[in-house]
Amino acid sequence: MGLLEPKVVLMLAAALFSAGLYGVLSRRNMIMILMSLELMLNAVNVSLVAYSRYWAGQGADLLGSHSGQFFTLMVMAVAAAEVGIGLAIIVAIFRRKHTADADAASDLKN
Amino acid sequence: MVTSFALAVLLFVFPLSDNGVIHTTAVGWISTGGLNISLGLYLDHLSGLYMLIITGIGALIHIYSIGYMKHDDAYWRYFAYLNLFLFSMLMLVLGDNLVCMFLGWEGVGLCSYLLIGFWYKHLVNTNAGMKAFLVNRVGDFGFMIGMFLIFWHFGSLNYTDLFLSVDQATAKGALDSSLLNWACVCMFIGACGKSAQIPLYVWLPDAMAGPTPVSALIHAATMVTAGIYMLARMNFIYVHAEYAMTVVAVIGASTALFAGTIGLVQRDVKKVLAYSTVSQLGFMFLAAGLGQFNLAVFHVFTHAFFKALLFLGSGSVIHSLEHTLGHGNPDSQDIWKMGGLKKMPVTCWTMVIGSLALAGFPLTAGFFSKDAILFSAFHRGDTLGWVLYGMGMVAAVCTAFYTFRMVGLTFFGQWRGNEAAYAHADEAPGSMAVPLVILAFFALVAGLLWLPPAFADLHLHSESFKTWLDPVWAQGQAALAADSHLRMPQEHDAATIAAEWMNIAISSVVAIVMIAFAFSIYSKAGNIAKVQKLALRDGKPTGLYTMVLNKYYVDELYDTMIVRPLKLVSDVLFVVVDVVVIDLILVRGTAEVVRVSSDLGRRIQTGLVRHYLYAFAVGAVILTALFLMIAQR
Repeated sequence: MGLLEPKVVLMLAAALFSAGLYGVLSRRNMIMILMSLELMLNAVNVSLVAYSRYWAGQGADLLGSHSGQFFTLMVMAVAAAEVGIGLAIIVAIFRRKHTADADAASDLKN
Repeated sequence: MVTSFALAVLLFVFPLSDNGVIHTTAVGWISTGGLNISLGLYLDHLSGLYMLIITGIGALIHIYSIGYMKHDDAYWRYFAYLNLFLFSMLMLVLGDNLVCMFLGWEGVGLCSYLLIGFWYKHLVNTNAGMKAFLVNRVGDFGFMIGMFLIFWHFGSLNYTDLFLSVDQATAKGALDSSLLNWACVCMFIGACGKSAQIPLYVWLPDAMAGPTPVSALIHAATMVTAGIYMLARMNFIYVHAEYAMTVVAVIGASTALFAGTIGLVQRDVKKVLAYSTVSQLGFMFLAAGLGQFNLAVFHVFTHAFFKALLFLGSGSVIHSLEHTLGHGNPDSQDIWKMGGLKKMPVTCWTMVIGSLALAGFPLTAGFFSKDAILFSAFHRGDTLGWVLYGMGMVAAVCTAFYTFRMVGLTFFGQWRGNEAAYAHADEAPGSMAVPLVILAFFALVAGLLWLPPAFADLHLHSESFKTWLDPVWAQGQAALAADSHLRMPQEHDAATIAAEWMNIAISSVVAIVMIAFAFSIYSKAGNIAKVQKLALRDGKPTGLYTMVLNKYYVDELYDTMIVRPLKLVSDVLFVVVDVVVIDLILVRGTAEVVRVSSDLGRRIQTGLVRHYLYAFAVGAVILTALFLMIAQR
């Protein structure tokens, strides 16, 4: 098992999540923000799969011990939808403001 | 309305002739704890009679109104209110419990407000409507207290339950007489408001601001007779409250006298009639207070005819003068500016008949009922009875005088007003004349339904009215001791009959003399001038005359003692509570706090998605940290 121990995988997931969070917070381009967001979602996916596998190894029977993997599929589907909507919003904002800069969309200020 | 009268007659003739009571409960209304109130109808001989009066007179007034209100802009609104009024009145008399009665009671109050203030474009009219409503509210308060006391004592407000509980309590000797006295006095205050007795009569003369058929309706068939109905309905309780009965009798006699004297000097034809109504209502309460409930109801019955007749007749005069003088011109109601109007023959002679009945001219309707009431006061035999008899007699003298003062000034002698108006004063149209004739007929003969027992000497028996109502009083009368003042006489011995003849003779002579006296003064221009010289000095009223002319300053007294202090308190409350506490502190204060706090809160909304995300991420971290800390424990 070695390299695929849950601890290792979870650390990978944490690293991915942090990188995504950093991207979301630091980037101004909305496309980049969206991509970083995907990174965070996938970090969660990785951790879900890791747990799923861990619990299966423990012999636990939580929904056939594959529930984590099902959740991952579900997250992927939702993420796909979210990207669709997110891109549509970005296009709409771009048409109006002629930029993809998130700070430009500050109409709600005050 | 005519249909409903026909239905009422049917109801009256068929089922009632058998045993007397129809009682139906339509639907439950309030049911909580020991209190069960349903919307039910209770039709017995008393409410049946009232129903006949209400629908009968009401139907005539409707027909009359078709002519009277023809040119009014608000023709539809008028009839809507009028019918709501009659509905409320029927509800009042037909309800099977005190709450239903109260429902109608309030409905009548509301409709009187609407109708008195019917021509709402003049401030005077709306003020009169408001006054009627507010004064009635004072009385209603008393009625409610009385109702609560009765509920407290008997645990129910349904008549049928009350019949039983009063009987049981009497049998056990468990009646709390002081509580009953209070309850009865309180309910009588309600009756004072509705039936215009001292001290709450002030609204009725002002109620003349409404259209004249409305005055006829308020004064004859509905509203003011509600108080009598309530007393008569609750007679089985009132007979147990002797003090309350004395209060009723004294107030009744005082009102009769008081209003009678004011009526002597009024200039407005409708005001004369208004005070005569107050005075006649006083007679009814006098009768009720003496325990002679059937006499009270009998007077309601006869009074309904001649008072409706008089009002409708005066309406006919006003209507014909208004053609020339213009609508709402006070001259069209001022009897000093009338005279010689016998050129309107139907109006004139029906009015004379109505006035004869009101003045108690022998053998007219008013004569029999009023005379019987006076005699029952006389027959009581103690000091109180004598005092009441005296007051009633003086009131009757006043009545005869002012009635024929009005007739003389209006219909006979010389015209004293605008010439053009006189030339155009024509007889009323058919829809107005026919009700007058019908009412005049009843004003003449209604009294024959119950002749005084003394007439038996002449082999004239007629007691159908009394026999009809006897079942209503049976319970109350059965509970009374044989020597009680409140007992209605059943048999008359020779001495009583003699006394009754004497009484009849006195009142006949008094009525005829006063009628002749008043008529001879006021139908001749020369005599009028002489009288005026007596009363006026340098064209100004003097002494006692001023006082009576100003209605004993009662309105002014109420104004200073109640209205102004109340206004002052309201003004203070307005400034302190309304302006400062509510408007400034509560309303504006709340708005200000919200505004300031949102001003502060607004600054954190930068509009930059990044900042929101930071806040979101930090929040998530804090929440996770907290969650972990709690999980660690």
